[in-house]
Amino acid sequence: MSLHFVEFELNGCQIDGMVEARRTLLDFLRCDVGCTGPHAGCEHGVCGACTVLVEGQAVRSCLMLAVQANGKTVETVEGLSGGPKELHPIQQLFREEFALQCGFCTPGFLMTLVALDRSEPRPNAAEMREALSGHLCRCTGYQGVLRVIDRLTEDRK
Amino acid sequence: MKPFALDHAASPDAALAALGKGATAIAGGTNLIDLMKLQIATPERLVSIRRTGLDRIAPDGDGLRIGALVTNADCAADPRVRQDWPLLSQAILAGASPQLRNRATTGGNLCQRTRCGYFYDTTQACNKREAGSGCAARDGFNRIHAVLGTSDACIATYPGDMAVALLALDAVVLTQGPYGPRQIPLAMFHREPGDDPTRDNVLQPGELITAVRLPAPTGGRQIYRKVRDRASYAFALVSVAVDLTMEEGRIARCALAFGSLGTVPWRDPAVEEVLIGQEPSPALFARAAEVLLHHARGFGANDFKIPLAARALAATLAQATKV
Amino acid sequence: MSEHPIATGARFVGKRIQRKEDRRLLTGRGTYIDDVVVAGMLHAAFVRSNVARGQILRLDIAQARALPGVFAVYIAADLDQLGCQPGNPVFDMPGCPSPDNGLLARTDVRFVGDPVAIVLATTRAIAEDAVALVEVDYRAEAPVIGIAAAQTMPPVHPHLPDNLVNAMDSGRDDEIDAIFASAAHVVEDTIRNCRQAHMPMETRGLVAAPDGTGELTVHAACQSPHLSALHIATAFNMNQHQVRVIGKDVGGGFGLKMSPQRDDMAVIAAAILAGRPVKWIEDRLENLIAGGQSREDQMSVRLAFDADHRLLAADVEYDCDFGAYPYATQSSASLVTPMFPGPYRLPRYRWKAKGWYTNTSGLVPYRGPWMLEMFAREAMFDVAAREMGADSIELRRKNIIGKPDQPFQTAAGFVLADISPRETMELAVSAIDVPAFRRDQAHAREQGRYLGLGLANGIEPTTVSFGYFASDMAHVRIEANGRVTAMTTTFSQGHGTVTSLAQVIAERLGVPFEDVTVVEGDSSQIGFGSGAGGSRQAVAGGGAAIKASDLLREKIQRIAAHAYNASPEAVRIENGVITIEGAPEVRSSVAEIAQIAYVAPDRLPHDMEMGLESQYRYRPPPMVLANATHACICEVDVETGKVSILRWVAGSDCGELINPAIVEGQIAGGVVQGIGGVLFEHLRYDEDGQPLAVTLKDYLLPTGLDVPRIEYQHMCTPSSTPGGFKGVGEGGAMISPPTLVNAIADALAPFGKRWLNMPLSPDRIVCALEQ
Repeated sequence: MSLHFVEFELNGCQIDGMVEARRTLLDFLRCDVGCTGPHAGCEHGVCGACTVLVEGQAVRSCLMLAVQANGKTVETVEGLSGGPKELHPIQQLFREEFALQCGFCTPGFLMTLVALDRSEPRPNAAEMREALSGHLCRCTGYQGVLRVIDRLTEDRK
Repeated sequence: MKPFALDHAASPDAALAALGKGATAIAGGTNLIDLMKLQIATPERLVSIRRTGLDRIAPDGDGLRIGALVTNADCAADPRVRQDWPLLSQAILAGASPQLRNRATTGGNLCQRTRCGYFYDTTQACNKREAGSGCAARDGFNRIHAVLGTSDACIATYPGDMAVALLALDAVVLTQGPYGPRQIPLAMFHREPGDDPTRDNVLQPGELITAVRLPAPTGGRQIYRKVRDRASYAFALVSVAVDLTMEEGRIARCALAFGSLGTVPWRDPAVEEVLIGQEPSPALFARAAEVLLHHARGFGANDFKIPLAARALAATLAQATKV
Repeated sequence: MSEHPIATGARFVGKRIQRKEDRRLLTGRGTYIDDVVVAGMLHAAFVRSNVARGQILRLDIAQARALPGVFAVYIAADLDQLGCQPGNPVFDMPGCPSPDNGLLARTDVRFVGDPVAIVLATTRAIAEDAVALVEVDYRAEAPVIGIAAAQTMPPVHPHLPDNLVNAMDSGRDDEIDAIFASAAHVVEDTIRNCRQAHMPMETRGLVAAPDGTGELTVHAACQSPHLSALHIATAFNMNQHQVRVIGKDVGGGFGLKMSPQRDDMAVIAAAILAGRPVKWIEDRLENLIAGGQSREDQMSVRLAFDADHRLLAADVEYDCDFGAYPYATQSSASLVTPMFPGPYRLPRYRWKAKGWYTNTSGLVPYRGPWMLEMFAREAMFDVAAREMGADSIELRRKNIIGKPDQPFQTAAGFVLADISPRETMELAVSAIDVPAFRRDQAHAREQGRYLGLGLANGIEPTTVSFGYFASDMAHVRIEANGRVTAMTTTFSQGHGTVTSLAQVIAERLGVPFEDVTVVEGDSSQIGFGSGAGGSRQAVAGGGAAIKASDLLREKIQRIAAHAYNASPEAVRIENGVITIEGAPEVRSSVAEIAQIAYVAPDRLPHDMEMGLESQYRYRPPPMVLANATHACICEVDVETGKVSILRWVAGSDCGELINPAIVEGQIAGGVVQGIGGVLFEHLRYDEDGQPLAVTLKDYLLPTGLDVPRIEYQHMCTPSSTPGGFKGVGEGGAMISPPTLVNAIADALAPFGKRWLNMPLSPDRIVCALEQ
């Protein structure tokens, strides 16, 4: 089976690789280029743990082929901050509001929230809540992430 | 997923050429890749059509032409759609999750396959997946299945929301194929199973959806009501799309379409005839429901859809006719 | 927390301190099992049965084995060479008949998903390609699906006489029937729960890496590395030191990952046979059909009340579906019936409990596995109240016990102490404002809208501490630079134990919170302990941490006293700084004391052992009770059957809280799981034993749009353990279903039906209202 050359900008850096057509973007990120932040929670597009930003939009990397990312910009949770010492403001909000427990679903939530936070016009709390309904969490009962949304939308009032 | 070869088409003609040689088109892939992971779809060759330029939304006379590659998110957010065809926007936003809508396309959404659990299970009998193998749903677990338009061969529903709105809006599907372009009214696009459930729609081999055209805005009151198991991101148990105009206290114009009720997005002119020219009332809505569901047939686990549809219709009409 | 006069320090216990693990997890730098890569590792995939019951007629692996990239395909006969005994030494009830079919199905399969072969290949994709090439033919037989079928059909496990897993009862009682016969009011019905999945966001998985010399390192998504190592060593007849289990970040457990199951053992066996490391990551479909299931149980309840609505007697019969390969043959059955009396005066009580094998995956304890006791009792109280024309809260007031009534011996024979059921109930009741609600409810009904209020009380036996759970250990060490490293036998899958125990240790020692690092997750470090399960880590881990820290603090005080010619009682440790009462010129530090202990032993008291490390193996009391009262308000749309939850008050008494934010997080997670189990979650099987919910489009979890904003009301009745802590992990999941079901029943009270069959999904509500 022939391999395809794939090349795209990942968290600000150009990366490339050779992949089978059937390799998903999620597997490519996790196994071939060392981005283990996005997680496989269901592999059929429902749980949201694999969510990354492609061209600034939140998408399911488990339902994308790696080759479909060719020439695009891809952002994962690893690109949000410079490292564990300096958190992105939304990561900091998650910490303050105890919006994570096991952390498995968290990278997905963060990418969607970052995309929303950048949107013009800025979504209101109800719109943000609606958007986050594409992310499943089993540990927190969503209470912390709802508080994060409150803070994100009240800060800008 | 089984291994496959992948090509990229740089133009609609290149795409058609590849399709003509037996390739399967992939746009966003949110349905196709899911099916391929489960080996329900096993194409040996895919052709990516993302770069074929079919991603514009543009006026078409008084109507609107939405390219096949316009994402669901972009379509729902388009100011023209939201203003003049709000039913379409509502229906799209009621479906899937924002992350899926960012990738799913107009064309792909029209072609999405059923959610029947037996279709999805390659170890179970399913005439839609494998002609002649039987239908495990009829005597099996058929909670989400159709009560209208069924046949002995198949009772699966078309699961999408967007197409239901397009049906109520009298949309037309534009295609290109080996025998030239076609304009297929949405009411004729999806196929009831009949004797051959393997084909969900009337697309011929080698034919590609290029756009969907909406006619001139009706200016009516448009509501999409989706009854589902959960507040968000779930398939419909039943959905109702209405585009209704009142004049002097009577229903002057009414278009109604239903999702997850029939094997295809369902529209019955007889239901609309009951309503047109009448004053709204619970009794009128009940009559309309009776006409809609007169031939409805449950298969056990989906019997509830019949009263549920009647109630949803009544509630939607009440909302649409409220002063 | 008990006051210690000397080491005051800053108070960390009781504070909402941000978690230490968050930075790592938020930046995507967690190490979950699928992030683990071991050199030379192969990838495993299972061939699984697609019939629920049947004989294996033909199993042809030749094509699969020949696929390039496939290292091996093993079947039962291959793995059987290792003589693994997968039965569970920790949890199986003595004398209970256990299934016996090896790690892979031998001659017959017993549930859809039963593994028949395991493929090892260089990549997961190739392993799955090979799985598709394995040919299996079955002669399908009628499967045993459902408890009723289990009672009459031939045994799921042919070597057993029937499908009874266990049967227990309270013994003969000749008088109770007379009590029922003469009681003013008798209410009876059956509550049926529905099968649910734990659904941690991370599925099961492990990397088993044999070391050629007979040692084994297993990286596991587990709930206790020590318990897993014990189980593996026992199963493979190895010494415990030969098995090392390492867990780093785990994406949720809820009971599913308590110890290796049959699939995990098959992967380990395959790795040993292959002599290569093997990784297996379960996919979500496997997780839903073969990962272990729970909550398929029912309870028939009869309650007798006197004319004054006081409880006279209860007679219950509990039946539980254990599936084909239960993780433990005890779990729910042993606690459901003893806990049924709850926080109420119940003079007379008779019970029976039975477990049944069926041709489905296997019961694995899920967050509060015995929760049906709370569910059935609280739901039936509301049914009883409606039947008797009583107010449901008044009914509870007449029968509930409070602090002045304790110690109180229940009808099931154990003693309630240190709990506040009546007081917590009153707190929750006043928070939800019942009179205001009743006015809203009446007003809404006039408009054709149906609002309801539900309440439930429960007590939770936290800190399970029998058998292998009898103790936990903490080893606390002050390094030569004064920083504190603690190793504990706790283990977090989101519990935040490295934060909460650091709070405890920092407070007890008198050092800054930032200077304390808690290390867990490696069975080769520190002695045995049982990790997460049974809502125990705050008490057991906290207790061990307190005791070990106290020992260490005393040593610091003695060294400092000796160095500065003072008495140990005069030594104060605060923020890592040491001062002496009565000697204001002295200013030392924990770091300086550490230097003495490790580097300048001549300055130590005579005969004192060098170093600054201590260890304590703490044994919690047999039972640490917590209690809770939850109340919620919901609206039911009778057109569509949709339930919207408008308010939720969680009243709870969890004793002293180490970190209130972590405690509330545990309550919230459990509450939402309970909501899911009532409204959305149902692992259905059809009568052929085919699972019908195999993806997350069918098995629906609550999302952020489905949940209320939970309001917490905390009572504090300390337990009699060193910190006064109590467990909290499971309580929310147990009490939330009856709270919500009672609210739905209250909303729909005008329709005169009972709502005791789960799930209460829109179609079922609509159907019931139509009838």
